[in-house]
Amino acid sequence: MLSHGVEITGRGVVSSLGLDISTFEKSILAGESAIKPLPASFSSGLRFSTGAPVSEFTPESYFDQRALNTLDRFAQFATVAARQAWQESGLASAKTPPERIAVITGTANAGIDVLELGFKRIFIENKSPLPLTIPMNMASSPASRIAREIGARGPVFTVSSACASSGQAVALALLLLQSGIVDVAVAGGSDSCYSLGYLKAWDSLRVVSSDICRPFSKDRRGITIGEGAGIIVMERTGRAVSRGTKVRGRLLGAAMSSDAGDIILPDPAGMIQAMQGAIESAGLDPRHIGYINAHGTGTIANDKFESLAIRKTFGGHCDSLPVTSSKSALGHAMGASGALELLVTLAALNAQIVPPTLNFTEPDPECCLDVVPNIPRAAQFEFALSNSFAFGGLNVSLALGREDSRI
Amino acid sequence: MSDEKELNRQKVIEFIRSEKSDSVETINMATPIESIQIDSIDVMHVIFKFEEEFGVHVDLPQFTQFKTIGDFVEALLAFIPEKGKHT
Repeated sequence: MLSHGVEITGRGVVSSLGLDISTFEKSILAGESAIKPLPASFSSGLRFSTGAPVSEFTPESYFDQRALNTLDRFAQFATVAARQAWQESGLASAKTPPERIAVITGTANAGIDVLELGFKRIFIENKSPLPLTIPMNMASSPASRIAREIGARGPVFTVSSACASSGQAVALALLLLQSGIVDVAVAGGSDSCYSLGYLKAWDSLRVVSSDICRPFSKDRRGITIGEGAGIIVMERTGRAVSRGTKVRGRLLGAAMSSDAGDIILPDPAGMIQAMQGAIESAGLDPRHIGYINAHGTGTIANDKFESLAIRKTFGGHCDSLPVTSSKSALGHAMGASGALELLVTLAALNAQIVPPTLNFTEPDPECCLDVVPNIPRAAQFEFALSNSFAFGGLNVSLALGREDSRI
Repeated sequence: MSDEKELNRQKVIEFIRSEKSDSVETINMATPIESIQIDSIDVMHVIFKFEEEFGVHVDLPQFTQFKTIGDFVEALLAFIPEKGKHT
């Protein structure tokens, strides 16, 4: 059954824990946190004072002014991550027919920075918005830019499913590869979250923790806002070896589901359906899963219902199944979180280290899982799940394996 | 007035040079437009900067009708109201 999977040959990341895959992996596996006090320009008037912005990113290092005139911050993130992934895959010098290459990006927010600037100019300064506000704001602008840079002429499109966006982008890429429509897919997603209007909107929703994100901890108070991009290159099995390219891991299965319910409150039934579907489509059994990178937002509701869903899906296997949330280190990167956490899961599989759930203080009887509190743990496991369970009940679970995974 | 007009000309040419990253200042009033591969996005940004600088609204005909940079610059400068006149 494992022959259904695809190979991951390229990884790229722009994150609050590093602007390249090697720094990112080292930091996340060491249990480092990107969550810091917010600068005064952001924190005044907000009920929260911490965040995980990508503060080291300097657009001018990656793009000339002409490109910057067309790319909002979320598109810059995705493009830089895609360049890294494409370079690692070695596909730039391979002769893949352009129409056999897909690009699927995910975003929850699209180009909100250029919109905020435009609104400020229109309503406060009585000026016009920037001339390219429309193309910069388009949710699909990262997909278009990446396709242009790598010359992809196959299916190129964008998924927007709130915080499941990039996870679903990867799931769809798997389906395109499995169906034989394409040979190569570049997939993932990005979001830019550090504009004041956007932070204020989250503040109004009252789900941002006043101090810090503590997933699965009894005293958890909500999310911490992150941002960034994660992109992977996926290929049909067998291509990498013939090219002499290293396989970084395998995407073995994926499943999407909908709660068909509340716009905010999750339903464990939808989560269970996604996890079971991913495991089945990978040709695995729940007991084969040795690690879960949870959605784990740090909200009262998500962590309680996700714990319940994991308990129901895995039963007694939960007692030997570490479940951690990378949002405790990276914050919640919204539409990018699924792809970033897929990269964490791959790092965990390859290093055989479970990255911890940080900021954990006290077990919650309603989150009865082994959440690997605060300190990384060495472990032996072949297969892992990465969950994204978005607002609006849009779910995706990805089943991943090591390069040489065997049941 | 003519000095001011010349200054404005130079400002607009600077806008074009910055769009084309023309650090050696090869672009001038006589430069044929087709020789510098200026596209619609460049034109949009130049017009945007011009509107910001001079506080006017520009409604230009098709850019392709201009043969030289000078034609384009003069067409833009025509949108600046002359002092003492109400438009």
